[in-house]
Formats: sequence, C-alpha cells, structure tokens
Amino acid sequence: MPQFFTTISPAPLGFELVDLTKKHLLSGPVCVLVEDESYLSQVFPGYRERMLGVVLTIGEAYQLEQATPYLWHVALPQNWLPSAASLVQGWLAAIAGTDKAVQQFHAAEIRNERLARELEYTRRDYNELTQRLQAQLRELAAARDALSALNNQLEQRVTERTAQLEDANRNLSTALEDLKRAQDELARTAELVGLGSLVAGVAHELNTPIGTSLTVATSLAAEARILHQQYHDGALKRSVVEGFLQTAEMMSPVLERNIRQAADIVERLRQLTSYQRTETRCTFALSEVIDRAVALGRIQLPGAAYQLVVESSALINMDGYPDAIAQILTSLINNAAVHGFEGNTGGRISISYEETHHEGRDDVCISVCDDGKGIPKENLQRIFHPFFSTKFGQGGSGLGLYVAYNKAQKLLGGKLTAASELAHGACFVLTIPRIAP
Amino acid sequence: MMRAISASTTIADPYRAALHLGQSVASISPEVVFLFTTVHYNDWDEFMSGLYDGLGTKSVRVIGASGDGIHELQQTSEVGAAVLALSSNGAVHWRLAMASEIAGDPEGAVRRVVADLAEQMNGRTPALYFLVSDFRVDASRIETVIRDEISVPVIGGMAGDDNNKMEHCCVFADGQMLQGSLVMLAADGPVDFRIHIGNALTSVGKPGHIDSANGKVVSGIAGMMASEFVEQETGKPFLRSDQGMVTLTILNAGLEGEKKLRAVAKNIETEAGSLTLHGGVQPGDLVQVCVAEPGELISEVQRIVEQIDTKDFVPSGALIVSCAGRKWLLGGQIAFEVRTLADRFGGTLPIAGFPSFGEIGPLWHNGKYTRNLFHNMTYVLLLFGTNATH
Repeated sequence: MPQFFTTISPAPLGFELVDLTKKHLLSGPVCVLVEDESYLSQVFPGYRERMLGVVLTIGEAYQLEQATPYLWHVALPQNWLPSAASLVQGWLAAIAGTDKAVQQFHAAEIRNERLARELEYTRRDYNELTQRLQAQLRELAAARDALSALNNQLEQRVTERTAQLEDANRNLSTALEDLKRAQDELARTAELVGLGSLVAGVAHELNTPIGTSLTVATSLAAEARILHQQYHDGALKRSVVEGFLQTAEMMSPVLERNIRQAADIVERLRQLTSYQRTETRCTFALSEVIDRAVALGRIQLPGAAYQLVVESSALINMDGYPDAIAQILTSLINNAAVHGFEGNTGGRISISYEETHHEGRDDVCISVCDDGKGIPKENLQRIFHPFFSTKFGQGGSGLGLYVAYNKAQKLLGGKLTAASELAHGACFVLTIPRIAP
Repeated sequence: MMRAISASTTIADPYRAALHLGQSVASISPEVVFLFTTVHYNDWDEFMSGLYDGLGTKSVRVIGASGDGIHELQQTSEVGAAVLALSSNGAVHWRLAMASEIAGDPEGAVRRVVADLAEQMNGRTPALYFLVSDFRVDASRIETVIRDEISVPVIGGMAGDDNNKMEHCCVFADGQMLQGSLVMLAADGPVDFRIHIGNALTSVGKPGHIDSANGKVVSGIAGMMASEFVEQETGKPFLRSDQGMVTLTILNAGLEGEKKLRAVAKNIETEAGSLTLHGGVQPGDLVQVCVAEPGELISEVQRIVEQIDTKDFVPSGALIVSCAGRKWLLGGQIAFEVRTLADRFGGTLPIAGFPSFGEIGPLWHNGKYTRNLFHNMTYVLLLFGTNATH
C-alpha cells in the first residue's frame, strides 16, 4: 500500500503530516512532500541510495529528476499539490514493480552464484572421480597385464605339467604293460603252480594204482620166473603150477582194477585238456540241458529220501556249449550227493535259473543249492583247486569242481562261485553269458 | 490462546527488509519473534534497527539464526529473511539469555545460560527451550548438557551459512547479531506445543566401530580410514557434493528410542582420510552409513504432517528447523517441507524456519518425548497452538 508523507502543513489531499524519520523514508515505495530536498539528507543521509519512491518539492515549473532507478525527484507548482497524490500513485506502483524486479534479480544473482559454486564443486568432483577412474583404469591395466603374465606362466606351467603328465602317462602305460606282463607271468607261474599241483596230484593219484599194479605185476613176474626156472630144471611140480595159477587169479582183478583206475584218471585229464577242442557249439534251450543233467544226477543220488528239483521254468534260448553246461551241472549235483549229504538220511538239491542283464550283457544265472552239511570255511576257498578232495581213496578224484570251474571260465566265458555255511548247505552259482564268447 | 503470524522478504537492503518484516507482524503485538535469515545482509545493526522500527517497540524478544536459505509460509528462498511472531496476550513470559565465545567450553556455556534463565524465572521450569548456536561449535557437547541436565524439551538448531561454504553464520539475540555464541529462549508460562521429528534414513552397508575421533573429526572406523569406510559402504568415494547428505547413524545413541545422525562434511583442511562431521562422535561409537533418498525424505514429511491430529491440538504457528543437507538432497523440491505443512492447513498456518547445520529436539517414543538430542539430516517441526482440553 503506497504511503504519502509530508512535512508541509496543511497536508495536501492524500498526504499524512509526519515528523520525517528514516523509517518513513525506507518504508517501501513512498512519496515524500517536503519544502526542500536537502531536508531529507538531514533526516537520513543515505536516502538517495536506499529510498524507494518519489520526493516532491514545490517549484515554479514541473521538473523531473531520476536519482536512482527507483527514486525520482519531482518539482511541482504549488497549484498541482492537491492532485499530487493521485498523480504519483501509479508512479509508486511502477517503482514497486521495479523494486520487486531488483529483488528477483538479486535473488537470481545469489542463486547463480550458488549454482556457479555448486558447478565448481561438481567439476572438482568430476575431476576427482575422473582421476580416480583413470587411476583405477591404470590399476586395472596393470592387473590385466599381471593377469596376462600370470596366464602365460600358467599356460607354460600347464604345458610343462601336461608334458610331465604325458611322461607320467607313458610311464604308467609302461608300468601297466609291465604289470600286465607281470600278471601274465604270475598267471603263468600260477598255471605252472597249478600244473605242478596237477602233476603232483596226478602223480599221487596214479601212484597208488600204478604202484599197486607194479607190485602185483612184479609179484606175478617173480612167481612166473620161479615157475619158469622149475619148468626149465624139470622140477616143476603140480602144486607150484596150481599155486601160481591161484596167485595169478587172485592178482589179476587187483591188477585190472588198479590199471582201470589209472586209465580213468588219465581219461579225466584228457577231458580237462581237450574240452575246448571237443565241445560242439550250438543254439539250445537251457531247460533241456538242465533236464538232461537232472536225469543223470538223479541216478547219482543215494536213495529216494534225496530230492533233486528244478524250481524254474523260464524258456531261455542260448548259444554256446550245452554239453559243457550239462557236465558242470552233473558235477555240481554229484558233488552235493557225495559230499553234502554224507551222513544224512535225506536231502534236497534245487536248481533254479534266470536271465539277468549286467553291464549291457545278457547273462544266465544257474544256481545249484543243497541243504546238506555245508562246506567248512577253510575248504570253501580251495574247492576249485585241482585235486582238492576230502574223499581221496573213497572215489574222489579232486578234479570234478576244478574241471567245472575251468569250463565255466574258459569255455563258457562266465564264472562259477560257491557259498556255504556249515550245517546250512551249499550253493553254487554258475553265471555265463547267454551267448557264449 | 497463542496467536502467530509469519512474514518473509527478499529485499536486499537490511533495514528495509527488517522493517518490512517488523511491520508485517506488528499487528498481533508480538511478544517474541523467531528470526531466520540468510547471511547476505551486510549491516546487521541496520537490520535490527529496521526490525524494531517495524515492530514499533523494543520490548519484543528476538531469537534466531542464519541458515542456508529461509522457510516461510509464502516462500522458501535462497536469500532473504523470515519471521514467526507469537503473542500469548501476556500469558507467557519469554526469557532470553546468551553466551559468547563458547567454542572452548560449550557445556559450560549451556549451563551458564540455563542458570541465567532460571534466575530470570525465579527457579521455575519453562515449558520448553528454543536454542540456537554457531555451527562451528561442537553441538554434541551442547547435547550432553541439554540431554542429561534439562528435563523439558529443547528445540532448535545450528546456524549455517550459504550453501555449505562453512565460513560464517549468525545467531540473533534481541537486538544483537552474534557469532560463536549460544542463545536460548525459555517459554515461561503455559505453552501448548507439539514436536515432530523426522530422521528415518535407510542405513546401508555394515556397522563399524569408531576407532579414533576428536570432536567432530573422525579419522578411523572399523580398522580403516574414515573416508575409506564411507567409500566401502556406499560404493563410491565421498565427494564435495556429498557434503551433508551422506550420514552416519550412531547405533548406540543412548536410551531406547533415541537415534542420532551425523552428516559428513569433508573438510579440505582435514588430514587425508579423516572426515569432519556436523557434530562430534566418540571412539567406540557404533556407526552405520546412511545414504538418504529424496523420495524417502518426502514420504517421511508427508507422514509426519498427516499424523498431526487437529482434534487433539490446534496449531497456530509452526517453526521448521530442517537440515540443509535435506534441502540439497531434495534439489528442486526445496519448498516441499514447507508446502506440505502449509497445504495441510489450507495455506493459513503461519510458518517460518531455516535450513540448519544441525538440529536439536527430543524424539517421540512410546507416548512421551525422549531426552533432548542433537541430530543431523533431520526435520524438526515445532507447532505452537492450543490443546483441545483447554
């Protein structure tokens, strides 16, 4: 609201008569009517720089002076004073507008100064960040170079290590080959040991019948020499001839039995060594082979209290050596009948079979189990050894299971295993490929 | 019934600006004027002279401070002055005391001023205190006294300068402009008021114990240089433009419900790696870095303003002491903290305040105010008014 102050009495229309102070002069856009402008300097010396408005004085003619952008000095003729207030009203509004613009300009200057300062801070921050980024880039480049060098070192080390590994592999291969050779040597040695054992067994087995035969033959020969001498001397007596004939008649069966026993041993040995040549390969139904073995096996059982049953009925067609399988089964049945049921009054042998798949191969698994007295643990590890028998001298040759084991492994490409617990029977499992190798 | 009126100006001439303010609020015959200015006025004697000339009396109490701008109902400005004038029709006696050159002994200065006020009040306890001081004083030392020895709310803040130049500032006590000083106003009589404080910033990173600190300068945190700790937790170096916006929250601030923030102000004179804070910390304090988001600040002020229950309390005037760092962070939305409050009351609630370099006030916790605390990055709203029960 514009204010109008004057020191002239009576105050013209619109003016307030006051004792002028600094407060009046600096109250905002004001109009001050005074006799003489110099009076204002007495009221407030700095009024020309800081006052906003219009200073009116009385003059002979209308005169206008701009002291500052927002302070004007106007000299008016006396007779204009009644309308002075209304005359200046718009002027003051314009000065107020100017003042407002100046304030805004001042504020804008301050804001600009702030913005310039903030921009300067931002620029410094940017430079600092840039320097840090550059330093980080340098560090990254150094790290990259170091990494590259390390990679090269690693590659070199990998190359060296690879070469070492290749050497090691070669050495391992060589060692493996050496090992295989050693294994083969060991196998051969084992075979030789087995052969030695076989020879020893054969010698032992043949020694008895041949020795007995030799004794009998030697005795007969001695008797014959005595008879021949007496005949040559003409002193042959009837009683001597009769005695010789009686002795020969008595000795001949002994000699024949022992020679036959030796021949039987030889025949088994022949079978053992010649089955690969003699077995005939063909396709066949497993059940028929088992039936054949069972029919033969039942004959070997000591009596009706002993049972031999087949618990499977699956139709499994095979390609291989049926006689070998039958021979193995017969041997296993015979083994159960002879050894498993010794001292028992009855027993049961069960045969079961099934087709299995193992490591992509079709296998046939045939079990021959009895409920007999079982196999002692110390014997279980040796039953497949040649000439191992608990029935030497009682019809056991010690070759039945050995032959069966070898046929399973070498001819049929499978394996024969045994498990047993004393007083709870024994179980033999023949596992062979459905199609023999 | 507390009457209030506010005014502001951007007039550059100190006398004319203050005269305008005084004249603008003289109509309610104020008993006290809270004065907030920027530091651009070149003659404070002229300014005070203009203010009292405008008020028409020298008997009005004046307390205030310079800040990084002014807040007022009509405007938030980078330059100018604002006032909030109160009149209780004589019901309240406004007592004022001050102490100068307090940097060496802030605790003693507070005690002397409080004793002076107590003497003026003949031992009565005031309803509240309003306190302003110089940002160069370690306000955490002022806090130790107002927190532990004053049982009524103390509200206020630390004077600041223009855009964190950290060069000089002003506090006002009646007709004087003071530097390096502390001024307290006591409301001796029935004053209804509410205090709302917003200082919920989201912490980032892991907490760390302060290894070494001397007043406002912290040099080591969690076994590393303080600047390294801040950089590690924020993922970027602390830059000049981050001043006042990156904050450490003190996790072991004191009692339950008490929380304090310390804004980081990198001082180029500080040895490399150390950080200057807007307020001291102690070795052993557990701190965590906070990086405020503008949206977070805006939401919090909106929440505070919405929670003002006018059925219980009718405000007649408002003082805002809000951290300058919040203003910098809000950027173009610097008027937001005032406008939100103004809009809540239809643009009629007298409001004045200043962007401060440290804030003082108790928090509201479990139905009562906590002890008086010194904050940074905080929005303090003091509402004068009338309780509904009166």
